[in-house]
Amino acid sequence: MSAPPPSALHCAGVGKSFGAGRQAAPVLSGVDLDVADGEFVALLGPSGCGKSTLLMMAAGLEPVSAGAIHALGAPVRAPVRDAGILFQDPTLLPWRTALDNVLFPLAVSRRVQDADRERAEALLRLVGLSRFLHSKPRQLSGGMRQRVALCRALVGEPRILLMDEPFSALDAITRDEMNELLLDLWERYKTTVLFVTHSIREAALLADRILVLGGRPASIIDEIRVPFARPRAFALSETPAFNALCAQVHAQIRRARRHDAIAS
Amino acid sequence: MPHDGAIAAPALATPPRLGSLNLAVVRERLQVVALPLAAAACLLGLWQFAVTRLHVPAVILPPPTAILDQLVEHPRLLARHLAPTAREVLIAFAISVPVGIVLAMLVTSSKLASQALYPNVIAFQIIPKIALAPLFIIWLGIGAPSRVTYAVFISFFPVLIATAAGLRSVKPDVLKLCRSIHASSWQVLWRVRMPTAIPFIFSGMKITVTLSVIGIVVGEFIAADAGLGYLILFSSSHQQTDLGLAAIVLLCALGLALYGAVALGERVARRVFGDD
Repeated sequence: MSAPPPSALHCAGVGKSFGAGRQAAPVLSGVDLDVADGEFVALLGPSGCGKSTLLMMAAGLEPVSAGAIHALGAPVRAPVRDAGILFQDPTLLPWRTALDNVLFPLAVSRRVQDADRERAEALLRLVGLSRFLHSKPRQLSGGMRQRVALCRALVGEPRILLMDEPFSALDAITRDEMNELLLDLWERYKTTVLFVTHSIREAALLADRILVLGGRPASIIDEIRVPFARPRAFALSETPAFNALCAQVHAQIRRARRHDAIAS
Repeated sequence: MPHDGAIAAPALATPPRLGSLNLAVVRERLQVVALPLAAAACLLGLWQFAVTRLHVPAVILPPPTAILDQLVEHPRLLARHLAPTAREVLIAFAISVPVGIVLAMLVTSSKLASQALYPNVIAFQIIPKIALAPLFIIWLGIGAPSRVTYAVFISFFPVLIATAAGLRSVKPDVLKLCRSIHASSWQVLWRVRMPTAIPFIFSGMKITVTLSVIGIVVGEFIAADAGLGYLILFSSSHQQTDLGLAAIVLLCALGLALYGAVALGERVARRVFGDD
């Protein structure tokens, strides 16, 4: 075995097929990617291209069909500890309060202590839910629920945050708010993030680097470094430079896809 | 009072409110209760009218007032027979629910268990269970244990099916989350699957409670020396149709009360454990 690479997340020749034998349908093939410690990387691609599958494999929730994934220096064979996950759906437990939902990951591994409770409360305050600590999910709006889920992903102080289109089920205004909140939170924690999205603007606003997934089977077809300085604010997305970058990313994706269509 | 069109418009759009209750809602609720009661009263009136006008013998079909007379005149007799029936129904129900839940846990515990057991569970449901009632006398004698066991035998099934559906209704992403935080399958069962299943369990319990009543009455038909089923059988053989029907009225009341209690529990469970 070679020495584990120093990056937070490392994929080498990763492939995934569903089904077996002649019916096997390859979804991903030859995916190589690296996420440096403390880097925010967006995984951009159209719906159904396999980007969520790749994220689930990185989380250790889905086995790889080919290649290898290392997370935090160790090969991924089981669900990765020290990883926080956010799904498109908040996946809160309806009978638990916001606070108890945030504490849920801790409660399954040990007895919840006062310090845990304080940290969970602090997180909920940080995302603007100080008045809703003891509310049930059904009393919260979609955006508030997703904020609770974000706190739940952060409560174990993960070293890597895996986000699977976390805001795509929200309305546009709430989504912008969540993006701004995430920028603030990232400034504070500087956690490594792999963020799956199909929105170019969202990727450009949040990430240090955008990896474009495409083709059939899909692989990384493009990489764009986002040049904007941090800390960033939502106002960035209204600047001409931002729009120019988005247009450039858009053009690159279209070129790559056209090339891909001709090749296949 | 200053009049502002912008404020007045939404006030007109919503009906006037009385405290926290809405008048339209109150009328709607009253209708929901009053209309079926009125329809039932009409039917009873028709029954009364037809039976007296056509001089139908009371042995064939007594008028509703005769049944009411029985209820008023023999409260002690009826209560003496209601008590064992109610007690045995409650015991049968109290056993059926955990039996159904535990079997559902077993059936859904693994893919292997599910494949081995589920077809048999369905096949079991096809047995005409009423036909087996006399066998319980052979197995367990003529006492209450025989009747209660038979009632459990016919009534646990809806809870089993509903619980299995509930345990399986947890969303795949929630299960992924559980795996990512290294929750054991035991923890997933008790902290996620079971709470999710609780509203389902209550909807199964609604059917189970009515089947428990049926099971005990069938048991009493076959072997009993007290109980409403026994009283119905006894009155029929003595041509006291009005007394038999009075016992049936009590049986309905018993079933309705138990069903209502479970339905109330279901509403609470949905509010606490349901999604919205």
